[in-house]
This record gives sequence, C-alpha cells and structure tokens, in this order.
Amino acid sequence: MTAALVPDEPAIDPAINHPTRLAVVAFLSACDEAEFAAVRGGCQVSDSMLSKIASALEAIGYLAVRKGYVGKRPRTWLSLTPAGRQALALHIAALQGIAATARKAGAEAGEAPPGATDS
Amino acid sequence: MDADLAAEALQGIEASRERARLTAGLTPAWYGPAAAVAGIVPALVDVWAQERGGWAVFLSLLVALAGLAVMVALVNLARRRTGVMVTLPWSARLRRAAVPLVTVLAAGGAAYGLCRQFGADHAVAKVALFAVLGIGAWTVFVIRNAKIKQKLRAAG
Repeated sequence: MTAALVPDEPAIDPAINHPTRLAVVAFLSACDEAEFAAVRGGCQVSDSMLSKIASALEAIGYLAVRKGYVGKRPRTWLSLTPAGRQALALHIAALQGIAATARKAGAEAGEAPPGATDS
Repeated sequence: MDADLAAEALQGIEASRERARLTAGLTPAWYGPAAAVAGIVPALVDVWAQERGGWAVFLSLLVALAGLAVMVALVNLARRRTGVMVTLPWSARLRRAAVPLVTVLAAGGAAYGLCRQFGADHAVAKVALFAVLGIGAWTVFVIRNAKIKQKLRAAG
C-alpha cells in the first residue's frame, strides 16, 4: 500500500476530486462502515467502477476493505481510514474556501459604485 | 477550480452523506413481524403458564428470556442487514425512538384499559396489550421505512 501524502491545510485532493470518488468517500464518511452493495446503490455506480475506486483508494490508504459473512453469504465491507477522513475534511475545507472567495468577490463587485472599474 | 464546481461538489458531498444516513435507518422487511412475534409469544406462553401453574411458570420465564434474547439478536442482525453501519449515541437513539415508543406504549396501555373496562380478565388484557405493542412496533418500522424510501427517491 502506498499512502498518499495528506496535506495539513485545506487543499483540493486529486485522489478524491473526481465526482464519483468524492461521492463514495462522502458516503463512507457518514458511517462507520458500509457493505459494498449499499455503497454501490447509494452512490449509483456499477460494481466494476466501485471495485476500481475501492482498490485505488485502498492503495493510497484512504479506504479499508474488510471481507466478512452475513449468515453464510460473503460480504465486503468498506470504511474510511483516519487518513481518508482527514483528506475529505481538508478537501471540503478547500471547496468551501473557493465558494466563499467567489461569494466575497461577487459581493464586492455588487457593492462597487457604477463606473468604478472604468479608468 | 471554478466556484460553481466547488459549490456543486459540496452539494454532492452532503447528498451522499444524507443517503448514507437514510440507508442506515432502514430496517429489513422481516424485522417488524419478527419483533412482533418475539413480543407476543412470551405473553401468550405466560398466560397459558399462569393457568397451568407449576413447571409451566418456569417454562414461561425461560420463554420470556428467550424472547428478550431474540429481540437483542434481531436488533444486531437488522443493523448488519441494512448494509450501512452507523453508531449513534444512546441519546440520539432515544430521541429518534421517543415519539413512536410513547405512542405504541400509550396504545398498548389503552388496549389493556379497554379490555379491563369491558370485563376481560387480566390474562386476556395482557395478551391484548402485547399484541398491540407487537403490531404497533411493526407498524412503526413500516412507516419509518416508507418515509426513508420516499426521501431516498427524492434525493435521487
């Protein structure tokens, strides 16, 4: 397993920036662990896509995979590791920062007197 | 990154989290009837045992304990079957269950009271009480599942 370098301050994490990956990580962040099929249904992704995402995130240490049984049926459980939770928190903080900066810029542009930009 | 994309991503994150929380609240379809049976059967055995006396009373005690054990096992099994494990603190669980619990208990109490009012003996009233509690619990799970599924559909 190659652990990704999780930054200490808000930053867009390329490992979870893709919408589907972000959806999977966000889904898992709201629970202790979730069964493969539940994540697949919740994030509306295919088996193969979720397998790929889980393998990629597991490889960088963001996700843990546990094999188990419910009765006699084999089940795969996915959960976020502390590194994955931290990466998501920093990614969210970065997104909020971008959105806040845009709102601030929009507000300032709205407050500027007419012709203020003309020179 | 574009601000609109950032806002969209934040909405997507919240939607995914909400779907996980909702899915965790679902209970399997068999859970309601199983819980109802686990509640009603010990009450029926108890009534039968009170009439017979002797060893039957001891048996009814065992059945009551077995019913309790089945309830605990059902709760654990149902949690695992939903596919999404969320550990809620007891305060949050109680808050969530408070209204249905009080409603079902009140309905059970009313059923017991009405049975006694209309001349039924204690045994019959007790069976009615547990039947209402069991069916009430079943109904609560059906309603909760329906509400969650509706929210999940609305969430897309």
